[in-house]
Amino acid sequence: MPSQPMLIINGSSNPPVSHPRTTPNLLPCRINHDGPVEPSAAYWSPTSNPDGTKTAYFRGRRLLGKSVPIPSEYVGVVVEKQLPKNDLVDEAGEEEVHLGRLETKAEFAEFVVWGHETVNDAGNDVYTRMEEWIGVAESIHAFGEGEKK
Amino acid sequence: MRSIKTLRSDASHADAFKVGPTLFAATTSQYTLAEATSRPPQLFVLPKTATAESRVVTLQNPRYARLTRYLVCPKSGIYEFTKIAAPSAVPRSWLIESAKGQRIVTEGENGSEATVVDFEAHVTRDADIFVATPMDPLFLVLPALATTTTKSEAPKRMFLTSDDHFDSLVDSADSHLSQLLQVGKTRALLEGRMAVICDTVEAGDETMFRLNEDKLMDELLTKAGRMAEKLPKSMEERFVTRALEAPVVYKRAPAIPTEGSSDGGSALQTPMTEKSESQASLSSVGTVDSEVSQASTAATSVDLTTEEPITAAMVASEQVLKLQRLQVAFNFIVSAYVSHTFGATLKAHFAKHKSTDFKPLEEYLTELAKLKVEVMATRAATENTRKRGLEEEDDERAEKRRRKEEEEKKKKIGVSKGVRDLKKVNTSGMKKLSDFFKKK
Repeated sequence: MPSQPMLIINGSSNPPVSHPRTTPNLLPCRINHDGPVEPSAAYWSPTSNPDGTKTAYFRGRRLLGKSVPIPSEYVGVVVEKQLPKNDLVDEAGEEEVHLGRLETKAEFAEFVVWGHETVNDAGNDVYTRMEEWIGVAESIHAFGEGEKK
Repeated sequence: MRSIKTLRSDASHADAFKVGPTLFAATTSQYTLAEATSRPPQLFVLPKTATAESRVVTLQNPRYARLTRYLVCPKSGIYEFTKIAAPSAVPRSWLIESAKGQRIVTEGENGSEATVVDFEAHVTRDADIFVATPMDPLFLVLPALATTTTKSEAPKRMFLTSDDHFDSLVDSADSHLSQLLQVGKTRALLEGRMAVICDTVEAGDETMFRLNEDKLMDELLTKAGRMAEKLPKSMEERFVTRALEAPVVYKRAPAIPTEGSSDGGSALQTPMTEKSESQASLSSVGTVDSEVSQASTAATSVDLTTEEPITAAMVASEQVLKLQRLQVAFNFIVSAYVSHTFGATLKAHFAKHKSTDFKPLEEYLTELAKLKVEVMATRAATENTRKRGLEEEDDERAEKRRRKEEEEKKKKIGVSKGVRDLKKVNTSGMKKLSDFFKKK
C-alpha cells in the first residue's frame, strides 16, 4: 500500500466560508462517468410533491426521490482531493510531512435517494440509515464530560 | 442542409477533414461532455465540531491492524470514517447538482475582492459517501496496552511510559501517529484515555501505564450499556427480537403453562417488580397485559392467554431483553474495535463479569433451546406419521390397480388372435358341432 498523505480539509476554516449549496442525488442507475456534466438543467429538474417526496424525469424514466437530511451537528461537503506537491510542508513546526488537501467545493444539508417508479424503501437502504449509524457511533464513543451525567 | 452542401463542395479541399469532425459533433449533440476527471469529487459528512486544524491521517486500525484513515482534530477529538456504498449488485451513482456560488469578499492586498465560485454539476460513478463519526481514542491505544504475549496464562504486562506504548503502535512508516503526538492536545487526549483503563505509577516526573482489565471492562460495559439503551431498529429486530423469539405453537399443548409456573417466573412469567420498573422502557412485549398480570397470579394470566389459539410459546421478559441488548451491544463493540485475539478474552470476561447477572438470560436461552428442540421433534414426528399414512393409502390403491390389470392381462394371454376373431362371428342359425354326433 502506498503511503497516503496527511490531508488538510480546506474550507472548514474559521470564520466559515460559505460554499455553494448543492444537493447530491443518488440515482438508481450507474453512470459510467466521473466529472462535470454541465449544462445539467435541461436534463435534471426535480420537483417536490406535496407528500414530501420528489419527482424527476431522467431519460424518460420517472424517478421518485426521498430526502435524507444530514444530522444537525454534521455537514455534508463535496471535496476534491489534491495530492501534495513534492515540497514538504512544515507541519506542527517539528517534522515535515506531505500535506495533501481536500478542497471543499460545495456543501449540502441533505441528499436525495431516488428510486425508479417507487420511493426507495427507507428500512433497507444503507444510505437512509446513515443517521442511525451516527447515533450508534456517538453512543459508543462518547466519553469524558458527556459520559458522567 | 447547407452545411452538408458546403461540405460536399469543399470535399476536394484538404481542410474538409478539419471541418468534418466538428460538423459531425455539432449535429449529434448540442453539448460536448467534459472529459472525465481522474479525481472525481467525493462526498463527506463531517462533524461541525471539527475545526480547521483537523487533519485526515493514517493510523493503525485497532481491530484489523491495518492502516485506516481517521480524522483528527486537536480540539474536538478523533473521528473514524465509515464508507457508505451501494452493494456492487445495485447500480448507483451520484449526480451532484450545480449550485450558484455566493459572493465571497476577501480582503486582499489591493483592497477587498469579490469572487463568485459556482459549483458545476458532477457525476461520480461510485456512489460512495464517507461519514466521520466520533471515535474514542481508547480503542486506538488499546492494541499497545493489550499485548497478548502468552496465550493461556494472563500476560505479564509491564508499567511503561506512554511513549513506550506509543512506540509499539508505530510499526509502519505510513502511520501518522508520531506526527500527531507532537500536537500537545492530541497527545494529552490519548494519554488521558489511556489513564482511564490503566493502573498508573509515578516514576520521577513520568507516569507509567499498565493495562487494568477490570477498568477496561467497566469502561466497555458503560459503552455497551449506553448503546443498548437505544439500539438501532435493525439490530434490535435481528439480534434481540428474532434471537429470543420462541416458536409459535398451539396453546393447548399442555407443556407450556406448567413450564412457566415451574420456572420460578424468570423465563415466562415476569416477576411483577421487574415489569413495573421496565414499563417505561422500549419493548412492546408484555406491556399490554402487565396490568393484568400484576393484579393476578401466574395461573390466571396463563388462563387469559389460552383464549388466543396461537401464541408464541415463550415471551422474553423485559429483564431478559435488556440483558440480550447489552450482550449484543458489547459483542458489537468488541468485534468492531478490539483485535480478534484480545476480543475473545474480553468476551470471556464479559460472560462472568460481576456487575451484571446474566442468569435470567442464560436460563431463558436454555429454556428456549429446549423448547425449540421439542417443537422440532414433535413437528418432525407429526410430519412423518402424516406422510406414512398417505403413502400407505397410496400403496393400497396402487396394489389394487395392479392386481386388476394383471388379471385382465392373464385373461388375454392364452387365447390366440384367430380364436379371438372367431369369437366375434355370428353363430346364430348355425348348427352346433355337437349336432353331428347325436344319435339319429
